[in-house]
Amino acid sequence: MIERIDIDHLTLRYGDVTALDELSLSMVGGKIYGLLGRNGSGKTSLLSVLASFRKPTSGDVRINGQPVFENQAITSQIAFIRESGDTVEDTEKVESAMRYAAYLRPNWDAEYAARLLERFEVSTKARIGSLSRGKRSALGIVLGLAARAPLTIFDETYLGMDAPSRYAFYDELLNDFMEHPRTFIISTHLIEEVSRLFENVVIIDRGRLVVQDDVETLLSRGNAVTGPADVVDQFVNGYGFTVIGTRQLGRTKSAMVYGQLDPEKRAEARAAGLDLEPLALQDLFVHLTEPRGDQS
Amino acid sequence: MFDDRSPIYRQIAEQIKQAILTGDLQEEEQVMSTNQYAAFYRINPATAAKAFQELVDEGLLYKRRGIGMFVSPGARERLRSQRRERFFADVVEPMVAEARAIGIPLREVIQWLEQREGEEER
Amino acid sequence: MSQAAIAQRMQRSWRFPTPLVTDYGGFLTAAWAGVLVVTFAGSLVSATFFGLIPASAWELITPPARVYMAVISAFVVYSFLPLYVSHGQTRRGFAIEGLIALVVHAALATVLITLGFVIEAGWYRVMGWTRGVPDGHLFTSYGNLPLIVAEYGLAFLVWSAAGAFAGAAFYRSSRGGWLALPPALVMVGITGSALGESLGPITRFYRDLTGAEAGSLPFATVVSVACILVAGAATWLLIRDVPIRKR
Repeated sequence: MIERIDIDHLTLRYGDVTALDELSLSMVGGKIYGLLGRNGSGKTSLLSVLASFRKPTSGDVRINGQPVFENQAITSQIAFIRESGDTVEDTEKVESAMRYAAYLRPNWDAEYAARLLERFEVSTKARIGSLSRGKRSALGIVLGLAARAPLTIFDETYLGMDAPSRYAFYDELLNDFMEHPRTFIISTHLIEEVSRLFENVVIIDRGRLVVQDDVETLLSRGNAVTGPADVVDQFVNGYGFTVIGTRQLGRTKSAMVYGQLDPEKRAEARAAGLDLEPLALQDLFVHLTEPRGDQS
Repeated sequence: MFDDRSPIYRQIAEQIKQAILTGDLQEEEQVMSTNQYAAFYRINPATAAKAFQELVDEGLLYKRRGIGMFVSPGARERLRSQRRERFFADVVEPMVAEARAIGIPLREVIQWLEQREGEEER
Repeated sequence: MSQAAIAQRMQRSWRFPTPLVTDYGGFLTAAWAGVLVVTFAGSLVSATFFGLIPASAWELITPPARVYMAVISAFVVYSFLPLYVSHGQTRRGFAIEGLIALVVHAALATVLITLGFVIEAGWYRVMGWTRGVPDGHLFTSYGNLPLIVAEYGLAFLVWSAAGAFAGAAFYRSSRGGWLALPPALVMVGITGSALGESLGPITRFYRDLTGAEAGSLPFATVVSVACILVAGAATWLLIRDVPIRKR
C-alpha cells in the first residue's frame, strides 16, 4: 500500500537543461491525482524519478518513508505507463506482452487484462508494431490497470485514442479505483475531460510546483469577477486578490482572481453589481501557468 | 436553479434535494451509493461523498452503518420550510429586479398574479 | 495488514525456468534442430553432387553460433532491461535474472553443440565418411566430449558476456554502443586465442605478450573467466543507474 509520497528538493538535470528545479511536494495514498503542466514543464521527468526510471540529480523521493531508486520493495508497487506503455519489442505479439506482465507483476489480474483488451478491441494475436497509435495507448492502459499496482501512473496515455475509447478508459479507471482502491497519478492535457476524476491536482511549471490542492478547493478559489472596469479594480485591489488574468471589452472588465471568496465578499461583490463566475480547471491551469515575460 | 459551473458535488446535493422535495425519494428510502453516483456522473467518489456529507450535515440524510445512506424522517418538510424561507429572496427578488430592468410596473405583476390566483381557485 | 504482510504480498513469486530462459532456450533448441537438418542435408548434397565430404559439417556452424550468443545477449539486455524496470523491477533484479538466463542459454548451447558432434558421428558412420579435427581446438578428437564441452562452454560464455556488455552500452547511448564494440571484440579475440583458434594479428599479439602457447585448458579457463568478469562488471556499471528512455 502507498501511504505517502514525499518529494523533497528534487532536482533533475539533463546536461545544461534543468527539468526539475528543487521541487518539493507530498501526496497521501488512496486518491486520484491529476498532474498538470505545459509541455516541457517537467511532468514526465517528475514521474520518471518517482517510478525509479531515472535517478535524480539531487534531492529525495520517498514512498512510505523509503527511498525509491532501485528499491524493489517500493518499485514493485509502482506501474508507470508512459504514453503507450513500454513493453516487448514491436515484432512481438500482444500476448507476449501480457505474459511478461503476468510474470513480473505481483498483483497481475489476467482475467481483467483479457476483458480490457476485448473492450478496447486489441487482439492478443496482433504484433505490437502493427497496432495503431490508439491501440498502443489502449495496450498501455491495459498494462497499467491490470497490474493493480498500489501506485499507478498514466503519463498522457491516450494519444491516438478517439473520444469513445478515452471515455471507456475513464470509466474503467474509476470503476477499478472504487473496487480496488489505490493511488493514481494521471498526467494529461485533456483537462476538461478528466478533471472530475481527480480528487487532488498538482500543477507544475518550469520544474517547480505552482499549486497543489483538492480540486474542489482549487475550483472554489478561481473566479472571474466581471463588471464595470473601475468597480472590478476597486474590488480586486481592495482585497488584494491575486489576479491571474484580465480581459476588457469596452467598459466591462473581467478579472480572473485566485483566492478564497467567502460569502461576505461574494455578497459585497454582488451588491456592487459585479458578476462572479467560477473558473473551470482548464482556465485556472492556463492562467496559472501562462508565460509572463521575464517576471521570474 | 443551480449554476451549471458550480462544484459538481453541489449539483448532486441539489438533485437529491429536488428528488426528496418532489417525492421521488421517500423518507427512510435508501439513496444510491457514492460509488454508484461516482460511476454515473464519472466523478471522483470523494466528490460524491462530499455531496452526501453536506446532506448529512443538513440532517436530510443519515447513515446506517454498513448498509448505506437513507433519507431522514422529516427531510421533506425541512426542505420545504427552508425553501419557503428563501422563496422571496431567491425567487421573487430576482423577478422584481428583472421587471424593473425591462420596465414592467410592479402593479402589473401583482395584477397578473391575482389573475393567476383567480384561475387556480376556479 | 502489517507492513511485513504487505511486503510479502508484493513479492512476486519466483519461478524457474523464467520466461527469458524458456523463450530463448526454446528458440535456440528449435533453431538447433533446423540447422542440424540443413547441415546434414548440405553435407549430403556436397558429397553427392560435388564429391566433397566436409571434414566436419557441424564444425562449420560453430563460428555463427558464437556470434549468435553475443547477439542474443545484447538483445536481452537492450530489450528486457527497460521491460523489467517498466514492470516495477529493479535494475539489480534484472541483472540477476538476466545473468541466470544467459548462463543457462550458454550452457544449453554448449550441450546442443556437443550433441551435434555426437549425432554427426553417427551420421558419418552411416555414410561411411571420416572426420578430422582441424587446428585451433583444445580437443584433438570429436570423441573427447569433456574437452568439447569445456571449449564451447567457455567460448559461449565469453561471447555472451561481451554481447551483454555491448547491449548495455547501446542502451545507454548509441555512441557508447559503438565505442563498446572494440573492447568487446578484443575480449572475444583474446579468449579465442587462448582456446587455440587462429585469429591472425590478435593471436600473434597475444602470443608475443604472454609467451603462452594457445590450447591448454587451465590457461584458457583463466583467460576466459577474466574476460567474463571484466565484461560482467562493465555491464553492471553501465546499467546500474541507466535512465529508462521512451521506446
